[in-house]
Amino acid sequence: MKKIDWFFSILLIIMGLTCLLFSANAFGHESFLAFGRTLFKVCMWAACPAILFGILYVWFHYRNKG
Amino acid sequence: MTINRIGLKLGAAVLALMIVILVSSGLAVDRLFTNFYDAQMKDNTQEIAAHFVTMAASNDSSSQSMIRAFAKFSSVKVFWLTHEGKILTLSGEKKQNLSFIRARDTHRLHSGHSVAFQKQDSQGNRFYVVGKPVRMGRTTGSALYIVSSMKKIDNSLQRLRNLLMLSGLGAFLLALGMILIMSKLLSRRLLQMQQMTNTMAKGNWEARLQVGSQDEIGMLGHSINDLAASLQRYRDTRRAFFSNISHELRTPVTYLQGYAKVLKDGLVDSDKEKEQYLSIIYQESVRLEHLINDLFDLSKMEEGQIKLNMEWMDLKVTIKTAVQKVKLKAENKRLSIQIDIHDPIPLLRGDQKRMEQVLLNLLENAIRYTEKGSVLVRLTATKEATILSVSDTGIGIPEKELPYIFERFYRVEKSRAREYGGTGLGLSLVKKYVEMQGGTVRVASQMGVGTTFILIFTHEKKQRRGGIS
Repeated sequence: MKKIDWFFSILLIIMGLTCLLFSANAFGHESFLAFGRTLFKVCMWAACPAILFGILYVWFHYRNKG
Repeated sequence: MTINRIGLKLGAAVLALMIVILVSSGLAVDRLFTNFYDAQMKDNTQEIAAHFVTMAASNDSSSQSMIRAFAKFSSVKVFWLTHEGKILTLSGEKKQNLSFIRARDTHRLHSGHSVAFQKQDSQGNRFYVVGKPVRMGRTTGSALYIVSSMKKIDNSLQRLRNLLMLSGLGAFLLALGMILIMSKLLSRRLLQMQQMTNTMAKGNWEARLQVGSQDEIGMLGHSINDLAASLQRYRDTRRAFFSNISHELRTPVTYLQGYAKVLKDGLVDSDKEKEQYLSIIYQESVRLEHLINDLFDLSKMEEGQIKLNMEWMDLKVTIKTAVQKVKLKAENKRLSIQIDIHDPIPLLRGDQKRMEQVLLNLLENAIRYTEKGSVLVRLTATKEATILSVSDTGIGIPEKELPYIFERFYRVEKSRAREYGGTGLGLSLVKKYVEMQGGTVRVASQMGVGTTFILIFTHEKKQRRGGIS
């Protein structure tokens, strides 16, 4: 993948996350602190399946090798 | 930014799926919230109406002011329906639009039943109307209409819808970004394969793909690498074949040219010398004819044009015929040919003529490379297979050369090839003919002791039944 592909992909992801977080922080939580807090929570929740998937991948990889 | 078709198709498919999911889930969430708010609002209005009716039923002088105060707190409007059917607003309130009151509802209220319905005015504002009868003892005297505006709920729902659309847009952009990365990563290997096949099509068969995974795409990569290797091997073999062919044809032709020129120019001293040269010319022309015949057979075989006349045949007869043909050659070299047949031998399905050719090639080779001793043809049969072996007591083949002896034009004794004769295609033909008849060829050899070629023909079920004694 070229640098420009990465740039556009990451730009779209950031735009998408901003829209999602903006709507999540509506109804009286429109502060930067609340925005950051929600972002942190979302990242943590997104990290959970990513870590789980990583562990499973490593486990299957070494099991097949063995 | 490069756009490849497979990545585009993959991305578009996932994106279309994503849009369908987003739209359907957005509609479901919208209906969920709308119904939830409506239900909640109706419950609240019903509850307020029940309280007001209780207050009105007490017929207390302060009840009207209490109802008015509560109505103000609860943001609802209250109308009094007298037993004569007149509509009264609560004291101190201006005259209201009473178009929502219908005669059939009034009738229902006077007969002691509650009514509840939604109404919309000309500006599009929604209202929820609850009518409840006020019971004085066992009779129904009057009734109350409670009108609750749904404007706040509608505003909240509108805002919620906007936020849902924003979330949908956010999810769409997020998915688009991720799909862009995934489609690029997933289609990368396919594109590499496409580039690799393009390179192969241009004639570069040395190029290989780096295959890391073991999935279907990885297997496809391995197949492409195998294909490239096969093509490369095919090209190398073809080059070697043409190089060998030109060499093998050039040598006898040079002999023929040279000796014919000597004879034509009269450069011979005696009749004996002339006879010797003519003999060389004759031998070389015979060799050339053999070479051309072998090449013709081999090329027909490789193109799949050769057709075998498959029939049930007796190998003993074939062996005897072949041995008879080479007996003279063997006697000239003072070699003995022995036949050892272990009966019973079942009939074998094959081509009599080709099988004889195979045996002749093996026997001629055995005689050619044996100076002293004997050649033994042995035929045995087991339950599983018929085994034919041709052994000699010749010079033998070095072990490292054994894997290559069935290749075209391969010669073990390269420097003495002319001395021994042969076209270099004999064993190649033997292997091909035997394999075409469902057999296999093995070879065992020891330098200075001798060589044995073993042909194994596995029995078919029918073949076992057709045994002869």
